[in-house]
Amino acid sequence: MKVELLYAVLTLSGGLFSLGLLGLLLRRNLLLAFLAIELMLNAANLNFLAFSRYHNEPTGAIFVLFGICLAAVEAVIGLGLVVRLFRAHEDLGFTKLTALRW
Amino acid sequence: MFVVVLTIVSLSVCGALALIGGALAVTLRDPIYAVLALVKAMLGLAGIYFLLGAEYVGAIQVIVYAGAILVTFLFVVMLVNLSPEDIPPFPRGIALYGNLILAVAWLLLLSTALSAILEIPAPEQVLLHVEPLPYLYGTLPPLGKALFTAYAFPFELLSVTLLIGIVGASLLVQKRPSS
Repeated sequence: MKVELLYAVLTLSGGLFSLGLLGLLLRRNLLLAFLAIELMLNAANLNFLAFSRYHNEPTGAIFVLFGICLAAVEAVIGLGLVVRLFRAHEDLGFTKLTALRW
Repeated sequence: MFVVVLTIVSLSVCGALALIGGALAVTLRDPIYAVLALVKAMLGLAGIYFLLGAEYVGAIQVIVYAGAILVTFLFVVMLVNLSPEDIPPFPRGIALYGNLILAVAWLLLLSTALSAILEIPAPEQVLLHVEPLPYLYGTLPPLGKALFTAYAFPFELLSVTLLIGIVGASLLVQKRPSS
């Protein structure tokens, strides 16, 4: 009977993930694409916690903690790249950043 | 029964907060507003974490995600000085599809909640059955115990990853030596 709470949370997570995917595919800007990636990471974290609750296994939260740490590292490296690219090109649009060198 | 209704209401409110925040984050043209919308989505998600009994992770979500990671995003948005004019407008037809996905997801979520509310009569038939949480679920003691015994190696590996992140970021953003 507890399945329905899991379903509701999984639906929400699916919606968030598809929104993030949409943003990643459609925003023509490096910084805003990173925002969409953060949204997708969070949808995955929500899935971890939903199944952790479903199985009454509190250690599932550890994967979410690892995920948050990795998201922090990813954000730091990504934002470093954004700053570096902006210094070189004064622009962050995907249409202009076509070469992976500066 | 009261717990079930409370769960449904808070699930709907936090879910709406998360979905609307996410939708605004991927559609707004002003980058600062987009980041702030994502903060809103993170706060809604933290509410759902609390609802799922993961209190520690919910607190970490607010402190680290909304408080630290997204504020760093905000700093970088201001540093690179992006204005809404630099962002190409969202494609019209596609924006419609985005709204459609949001609408369908939200309707599914709401239909679960509504069906649970409308089928109140017999307590055995309540759709959203909320089982009581086990002792100490979602608090620090079981997490810490697992983190320093079963998951000790990944945990230490993670600290190395963080170090790599620090070194990499400081290497990336330093001024190039003039050659």
